[in-house]
Amino acid sequence: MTSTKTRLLAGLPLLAALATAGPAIAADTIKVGGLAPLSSPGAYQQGKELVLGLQWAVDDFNAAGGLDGKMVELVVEDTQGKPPVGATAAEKLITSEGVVGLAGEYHSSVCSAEIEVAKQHGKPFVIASCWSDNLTEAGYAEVFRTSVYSSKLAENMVGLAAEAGIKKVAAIVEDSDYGVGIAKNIEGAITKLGADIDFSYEVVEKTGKDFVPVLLKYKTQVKPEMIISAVTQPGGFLVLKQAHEIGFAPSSDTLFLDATCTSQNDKVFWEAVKDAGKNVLLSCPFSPSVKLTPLGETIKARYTKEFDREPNYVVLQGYDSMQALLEGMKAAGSTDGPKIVEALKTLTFDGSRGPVKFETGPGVWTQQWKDVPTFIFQYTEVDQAAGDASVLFPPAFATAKIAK
Amino acid sequence: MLVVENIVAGYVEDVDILHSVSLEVRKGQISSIIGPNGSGKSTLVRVICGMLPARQGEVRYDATKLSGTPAHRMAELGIAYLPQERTVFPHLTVEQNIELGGWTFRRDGARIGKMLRKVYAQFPILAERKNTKGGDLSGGQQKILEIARALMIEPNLLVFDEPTVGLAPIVAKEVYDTLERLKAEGMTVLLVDQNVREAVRIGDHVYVLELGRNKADGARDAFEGDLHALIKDWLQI
Amino acid sequence: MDVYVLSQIVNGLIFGLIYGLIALGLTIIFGIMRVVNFAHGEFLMLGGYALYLFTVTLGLHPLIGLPLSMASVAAFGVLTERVLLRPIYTTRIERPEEYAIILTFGLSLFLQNGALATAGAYEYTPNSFWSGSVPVIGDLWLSGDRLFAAAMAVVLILATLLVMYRTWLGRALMATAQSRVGATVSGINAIGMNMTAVALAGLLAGAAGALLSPIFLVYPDVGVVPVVKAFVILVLGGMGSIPGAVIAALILGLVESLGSVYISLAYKDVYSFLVLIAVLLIRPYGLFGQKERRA
Repeated sequence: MTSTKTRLLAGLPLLAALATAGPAIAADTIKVGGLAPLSSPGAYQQGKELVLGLQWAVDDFNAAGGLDGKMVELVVEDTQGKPPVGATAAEKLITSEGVVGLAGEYHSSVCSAEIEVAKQHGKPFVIASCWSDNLTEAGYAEVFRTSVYSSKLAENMVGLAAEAGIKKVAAIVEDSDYGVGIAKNIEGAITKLGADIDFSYEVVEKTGKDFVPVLLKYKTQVKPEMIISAVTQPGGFLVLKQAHEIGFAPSSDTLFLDATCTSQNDKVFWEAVKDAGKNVLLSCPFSPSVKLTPLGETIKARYTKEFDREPNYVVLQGYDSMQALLEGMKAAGSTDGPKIVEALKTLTFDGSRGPVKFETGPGVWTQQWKDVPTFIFQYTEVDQAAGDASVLFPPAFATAKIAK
Repeated sequence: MLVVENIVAGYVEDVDILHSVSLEVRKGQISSIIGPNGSGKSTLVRVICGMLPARQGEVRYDATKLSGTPAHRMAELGIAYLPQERTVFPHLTVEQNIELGGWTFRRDGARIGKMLRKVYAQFPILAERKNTKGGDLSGGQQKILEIARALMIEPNLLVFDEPTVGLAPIVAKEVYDTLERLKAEGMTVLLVDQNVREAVRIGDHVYVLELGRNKADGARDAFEGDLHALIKDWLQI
Repeated sequence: MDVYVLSQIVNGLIFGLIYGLIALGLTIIFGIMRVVNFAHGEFLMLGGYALYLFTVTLGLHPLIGLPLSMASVAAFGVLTERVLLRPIYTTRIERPEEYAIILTFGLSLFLQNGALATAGAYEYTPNSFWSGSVPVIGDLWLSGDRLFAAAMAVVLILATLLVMYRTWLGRALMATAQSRVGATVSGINAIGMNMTAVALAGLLAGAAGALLSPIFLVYPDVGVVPVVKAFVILVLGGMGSIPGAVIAALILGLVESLGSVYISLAYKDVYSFLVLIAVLLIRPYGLFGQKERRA
């Protein structure tokens, strides 16, 4: 240790001067912490993709010269999908590894534990892929998020409806936190975006099979211009099939939107619903067909080359979160936690999926990348591949208008 | 007509109820089996009628070997078995109950009709109540109904287990009268009865079982005198 | 009555008929064998997969696929009876009812997991019997498959009633249900009747499964919810009562649709239990059930 330090001091006087600024960078590299579930019960397949994104962001940052020539080293801890393990991992990274900040994580429940640790130590934490609104709503100065968030999907749906001039929307949601949450989020988004939309919803049993009673009510009494289904498979397929059978939706009078994104699994979807699926809209966080930024396209090409398949969005989310942390550090010109936090607040940079900037609030938008893209697609042909579905929303990505 | 040779049988593994029982039922006769509780009378008829497999020994019916023949085949062979328990179909009508007695020749509608009329003629009370549910009849009437159902096949051999248990004396008398009338018409009967006096009175040949073994047997006349001593003997066991 | 209510009633009755088909098989097995077949929902599932196999994989016309699916499930039922259930009444098992419950419940889990392992977790859609939709009343369009299923349910229920009440076979089945010994001494092969009962129930469950599969798709646990309704109907109609099962099924279909209209759409599957509890408080043996009258 002493010998390397000596060598550094001899060879790089500038860095030596920086080193004296804070105790954390006494070493020859700057450490950043990566959090991801890498073993069961965590979603370890997704965790692996996440780490890949984090590592590639670090690699690219180092290739571009690091922080004034000083290299960055990624230290990853497995959070196992368990909140206490996540908290311990964050603690360990900060106190024994001496990382300058944290990025990553996939499970919202684990994120909730980790943000407490970040706050306590005053270290920045850029959330990569935890969707719960609560995480940014908590309003912690240290916590930023580059991923999509639950109510964002609702904002998107409402945004599309408003843009298309739709005045009446009805939803069928399953009797779970997930289903009811979507309905509540839509209500919230209508208020937040000030949309002139009359919205109502019915809760149905998740295990139900016959949704004709609800659909009949909508068809004969409510008469919405758009129907949103938030029922997981196979119920969601049945809702669509039955809406089609009773001559209700998708039709020229009523659009049908699948809020669960289950329909993106095209083979299973078309097998199940056949011609009922034509003109169905899907709300999804990603699709391989979406046009990315030049950076995003580079990442995609690298992934495809290495693994011979299309990347899923978790890689991009991982990349963006780490990139934010590193860009923040660079903008602050410091490895000091509070300074990076301050820098992140006003930072703008080009991420893999668009220009990233963090809002000041309110609520869920606090230090959230508000315009993080999430999409609404539309199948315009029976048996269409998910990658061929047209992109309707957001406008910046749109490739087509709504087909009826 | 029916020969039973050295039957060994029981319900639970390694526990024999019948140790070695033999008997012979002669054509046109009423053969009675008597014996105290637990002597194995009912077990024996269950073996004969295929409800319980024998562990050793053999049952022959004329030239047919009965051992190993399933119970539901007995009707085809002309053997009518009337178990001790109630076997009326409670939710079917009296007429439907009787008709089912003719299951083995169900495709012969004319014969079913003919036998039904014959049985009604023998038991007018059943004709009167033909649309009543079997389960709504009195205990005695149910026993009569079971006999009527059994007679549909015009059996050659009637195996009757405890026909009068739980019946009022006046009904019991009717049952015994019926048995005697059937015998007069040429029916062969194997009767198991705790009512020793009646069993001996109408039996042509009497077998006495005790603890799963043959105790004694002989023609009715040989028994009538000893009856008193016999019963007394049983009570001491 | 407005079109909305009327259309809900029509939809409810269609379901009542299909429930009837499912419950009838359950009732016949229970009536004759005193076995509650917990794997009945999986018989439905097999009917659905069979229709997929015949119509999609083998490319047969659905009208040929239907009887083949029915026969396949019936054959499976007979196999189940022969291999699993027969020991219940041919050997001396202690507590045969408990044995039967554990056995059929185990079979249910086995079949669900078997389907998961072989067919996978996702949904299959067999070819339609009658694709497209038909206007029924006012705004109510119903899929041809629903109407076909309802019509076939009527035909099969009537055929079952005909067999049960107008044939020697049906008489013998009922006789066996009421007194096994009485049936045996009358020359009826009671074990054969068990097999017949399971085969008949298999035909009905196979038909219900096949008829429902183009409407509700088929996947490993597709039978779970319908069979719970069938259990409710079994108890509501009176355990083992055939007319009871048919009438209870129609009542259930109606109650569900009217409950959806006048109370709430969200709890459609709960109304059946409310009706069941109400009926059992007044008639503990169910609508058509009778107190056991066995000696």
